[in-house]
Amino acid sequence: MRAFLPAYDLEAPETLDAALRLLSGGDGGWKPFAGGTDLMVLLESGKLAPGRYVSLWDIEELRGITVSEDGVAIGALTTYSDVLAHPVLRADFPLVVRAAAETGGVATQNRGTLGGNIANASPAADTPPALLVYDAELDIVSVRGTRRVPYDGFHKGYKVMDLAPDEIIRRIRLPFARRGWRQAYRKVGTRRAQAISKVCFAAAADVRDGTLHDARIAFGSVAPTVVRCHVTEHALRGRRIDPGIAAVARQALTADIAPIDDVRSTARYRMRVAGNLLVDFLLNDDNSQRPTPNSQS
Amino acid sequence: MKWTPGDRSNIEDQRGRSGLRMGAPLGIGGLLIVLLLSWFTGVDFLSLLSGGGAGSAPPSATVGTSGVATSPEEERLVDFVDAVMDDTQATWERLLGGRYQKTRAVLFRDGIQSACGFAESASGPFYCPADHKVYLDLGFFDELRNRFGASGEFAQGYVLAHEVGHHVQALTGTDDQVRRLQATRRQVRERRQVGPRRTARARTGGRRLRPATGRARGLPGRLSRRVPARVPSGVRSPVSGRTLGWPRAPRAYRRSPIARLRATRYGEAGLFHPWGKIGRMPAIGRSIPRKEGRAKVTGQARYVDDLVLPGMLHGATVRSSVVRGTIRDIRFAPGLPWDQFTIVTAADIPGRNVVALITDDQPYLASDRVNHAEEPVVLLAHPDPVMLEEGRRGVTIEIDPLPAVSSIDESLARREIIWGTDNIFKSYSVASGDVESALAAADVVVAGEYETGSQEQLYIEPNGMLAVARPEDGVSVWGSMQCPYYVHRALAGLFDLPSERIRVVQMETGGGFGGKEEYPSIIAGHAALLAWKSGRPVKLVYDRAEDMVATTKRHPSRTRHRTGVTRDGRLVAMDIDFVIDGGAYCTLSPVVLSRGTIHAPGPYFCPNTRIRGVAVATNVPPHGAFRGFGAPQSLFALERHMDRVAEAAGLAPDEFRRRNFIQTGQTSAVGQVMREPIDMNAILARALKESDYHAKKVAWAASNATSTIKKGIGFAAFMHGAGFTGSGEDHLASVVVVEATREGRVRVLAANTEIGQGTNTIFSQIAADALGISPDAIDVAQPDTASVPDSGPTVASRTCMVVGKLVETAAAGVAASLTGAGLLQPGYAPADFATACATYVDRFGALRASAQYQATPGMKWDDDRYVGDAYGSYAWAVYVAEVSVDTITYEVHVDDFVAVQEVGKVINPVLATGQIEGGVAQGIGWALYEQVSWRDGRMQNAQMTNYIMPTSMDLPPIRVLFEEVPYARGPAGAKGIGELPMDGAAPAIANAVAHATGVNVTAVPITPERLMVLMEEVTVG
Repeated sequence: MRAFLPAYDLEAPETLDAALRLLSGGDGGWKPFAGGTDLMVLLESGKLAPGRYVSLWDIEELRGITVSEDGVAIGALTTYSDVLAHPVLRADFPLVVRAAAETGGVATQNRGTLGGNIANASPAADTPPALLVYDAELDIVSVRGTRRVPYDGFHKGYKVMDLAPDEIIRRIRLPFARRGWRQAYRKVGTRRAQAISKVCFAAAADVRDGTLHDARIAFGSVAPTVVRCHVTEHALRGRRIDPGIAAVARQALTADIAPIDDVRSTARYRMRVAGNLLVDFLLNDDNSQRPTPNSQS
Repeated sequence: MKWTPGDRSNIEDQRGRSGLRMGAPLGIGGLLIVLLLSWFTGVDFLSLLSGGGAGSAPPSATVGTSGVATSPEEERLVDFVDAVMDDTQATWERLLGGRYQKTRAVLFRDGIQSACGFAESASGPFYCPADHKVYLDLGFFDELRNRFGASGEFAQGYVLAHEVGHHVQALTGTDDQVRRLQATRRQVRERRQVGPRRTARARTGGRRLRPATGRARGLPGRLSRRVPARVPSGVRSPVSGRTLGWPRAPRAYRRSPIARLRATRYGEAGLFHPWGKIGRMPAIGRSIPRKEGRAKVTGQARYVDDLVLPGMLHGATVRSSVVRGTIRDIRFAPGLPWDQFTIVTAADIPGRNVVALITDDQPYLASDRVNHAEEPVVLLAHPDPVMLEEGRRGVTIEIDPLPAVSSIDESLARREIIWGTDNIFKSYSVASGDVESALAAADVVVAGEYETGSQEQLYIEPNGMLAVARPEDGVSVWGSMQCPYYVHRALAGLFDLPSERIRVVQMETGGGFGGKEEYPSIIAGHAALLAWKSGRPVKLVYDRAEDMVATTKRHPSRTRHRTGVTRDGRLVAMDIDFVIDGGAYCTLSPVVLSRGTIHAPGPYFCPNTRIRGVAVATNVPPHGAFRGFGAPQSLFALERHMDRVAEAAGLAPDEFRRRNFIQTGQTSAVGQVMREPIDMNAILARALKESDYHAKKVAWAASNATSTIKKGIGFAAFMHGAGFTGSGEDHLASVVVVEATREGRVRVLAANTEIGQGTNTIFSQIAADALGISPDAIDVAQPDTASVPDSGPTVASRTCMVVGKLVETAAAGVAASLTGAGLLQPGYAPADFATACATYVDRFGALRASAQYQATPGMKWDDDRYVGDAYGSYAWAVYVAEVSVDTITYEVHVDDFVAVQEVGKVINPVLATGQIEGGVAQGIGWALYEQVSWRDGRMQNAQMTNYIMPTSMDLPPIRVLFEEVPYARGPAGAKGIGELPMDGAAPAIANAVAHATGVNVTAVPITPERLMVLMEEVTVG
């Protein structure tokens, strides 16, 4: 343990009200966290900024998955293990389930949450690309009230979010909008398990009669934030699925993503593989059936 | 099924006068039967093994019809045995007609002399083919009932029918292969006993033993002179015509599911059939449980970080942040309670500020100059580890930077001299024949350049030491290490103390892989310096990040080959240029280079060979020992290159190698005449067969054309020399002591450490067989320089072969003392041993024997010219890798792996298999995943999330198969095994990737990023 523990304060309120009051309090400076799977790694290595932290883990109001006619509402503290076990998510949101299965090991899946995965704002997070494909919305809450925002656009830059210091994510809403679409998710990590992604791909396409009528395409680890590829979606909409689509897709993608070199991979690899994954998705209908190596389903 | 008592005509009653024993220990024969029972009945009797069960009350003794003490229950059992035998034999008579001859069940108690030798109850029921009888102690049925819960008559009947089955095998001749197997084992034993050369001197009470003649040297005769050994139809040596004695399991055995499992998992040397274990069963060759396994699993094992002493301080190391430079100042941040800290710098060192190893170039603490990032400069100690961290952050070392060297090429360019006069730690030049003329005359010449990366050992337990040091008492350290006497020597110099004032104790150690060979000397010294200055115990344990950034790793390498072959694919010239990056200080680089250089030409014969080996200096933390020790680097280059040479010569990779494998009697590149038997062709054939190599090549040629997943298969052929190179073992002159207590417990005293590889267990097995007692009666002393002799370091695949032989010899010395004193007769039972020990100790005092390594007669090594007998023995191997390459992501996955090796006698099949599996897994990591990412001379991925070692999901099934050709100078014929498996995975995988993709892979790790570049070049070009 390299952290100097006396430099940290911790509160663990049991109600949403108490947490929101703490965050809005005059003395300020409290930072919320959920499962702590990323935070604990930083603490151990001495890289967590000293300060005041609020654990949301004990707040039951942030748990639970509600199914309605239009979609599901997923409490922000829903863990990856909860996701993996939920029948409606498994049936209608397979990409989120795949993402949950590919995140960390069992211990991380028991502790890590969807809300935390979003608010940690890592560009390499595994579930956000899937959430983008499903047109997710976020319920955001503070003492000032609740507001609902589309998830697309929530991340404004590297670790910059549409989330005030006194706000937390309350739930994630997913509409039943992708029924009948071809869907694919692929995490390209540094190994088959316990890996951080180098390229993370999620996509859905409405393909009928050999034509792509609509699509959602999202990537992780190829830009300062997870990105939804609006330019590429636009370029592909209405096109015939034929070999010629590959060049269009690759070209358009360069406008949506901006990969870099880092300790895990290279910009060149990320750009090439992102294109490969997209082209493979468009041209090979069977790729969505490719088994996920560490899927627990 | 009902049965009625018969006339007992199927019984031969040999029950003695002793009562029916309850709960006798169950030998492997019995265990095997229980295993088979479980298999047939679906009841897991083995899971009940540990239960013990409540034994039923002993039956009241009466005198039965046979005139021995017995009981109505026992007599009913006799009738039952008779009835089952009768029914079984009637069935076989119906099936076989006139070919069936009746057998009888011989009932005995405790022990019996059969035509197959002396047997005891613990052997379990058995069939003796020499007199065609089934042998059974009725106590075995109690064992089945009480310990395994197999109480029904079915279980009992099954046991008898099983043994009658062997009788049928004997009658029908299907036991031939079984016998062949047994004969091979006997050959091994007899060769071990007559030992063509005496290898080590056993001393008993100061007397030197007589040289061995045709008899076992001090060994009881129980193992020899039974059924005459039959010559197996094995492989014959091409030179002597001598049969090499490959143990091959009978075909039927190999086909059964259990046998297949066993053959796959444990090699075919694992378990043998009951009738082979007459008398006491040998411990060698059995997978007895790991000695310290229970303590490790239950958390009782004590590692250095478990130690807490009163008044103990925690220590920390402050390191340079600059790659190379001059220390200008050391500043301590204001506001911290520095008076609470113990602070040590180079000025506090009482002796020499040098880590004693090969060259005196590395300081314990840098005083004016730093030569790599993370070099230790200041040591701190404090009672509170949290405060200590704050202190570490509060020290600033101001350094004026100097130009640094970061690669092999920069070092060789010598624009900056950072070490000595030329940046070169060591170079070798080895030559035979005339390479230039041979290259000029060759039909085909192929050149290639290959690179390998660094690799972190990643033992589970990070490095750590606890020290107590006071001028009046001397220095004592406890910690995680491979080589207590290396630490001992280093501390003596650091403190300028006589060796008897230094004590080094190895705690339980969570893995080493070479990473705890030299670096523990530094941590021990640092902890001891803090203890010396503070007057209090100091514990200094690294966390993972510090262990990764600061301690030694595998040497990166670059190898250039120029190879000439004739039109028909024979090697005529090999020109090899091998360079390794040693880092900032010399450490072990010269010996790593030596092993890499000697292994560079691989298992081939080539009349004209030239090898230049160079170890250069760069400004990174020193590279050091890591499993394989230079050989994986040069063998990667060689085996990848050989595939390319084969292609250029128009030959398949296997056919090219068959034409060039070195043969017994040929001379290696360093001038060693290969006297020990070699049969690489047999190993290659088995590996290709097990992996279905040829069929897969054909099938994938078709399927790869249309799939985004490209399949490939490749192999590597290689060898690894065991023990120190050349005359190294002669200089070490290792000593082992074996002593026995009055109670008959035996203690092995050696400095070789258990680091997870099984030292404790195999030493126990070796000593047990030399003494004719159970391995449970053997203790292996904790390595402590105050009580164990210097048996050398735990490195170089030498522990089993070299030190194990000394254990065997010293143990035999103890037995010889007892037989010499007339207290034991050949053929003694284990119980007699304890009695004899008690008498001996009462009469003569301590019962101890020691053995010291002696140079092998006829082995010659010239250190100056670098020619001669480089290693006493080599392990030989062929590894086959099957891979998938995903052309969407350029990821490589190993789908299947076959590892066939000849390692001499396998002492403990489960441990040996574990060594191979672990080495292969480490090799796969090195080949595909593990990459030390340097930035400004520092490792930037010093955490397990970014330093990518493979998980179980990234590993294939690893199918481990052993061939056993006994080596006379190893215990029971064993050779070295620990490093071998590190050598083969990377080149086999690289060859498989090349096969799958058609690109020329020349460097490891084959990361997706690298492979993408190679594949794009092919597409574009």
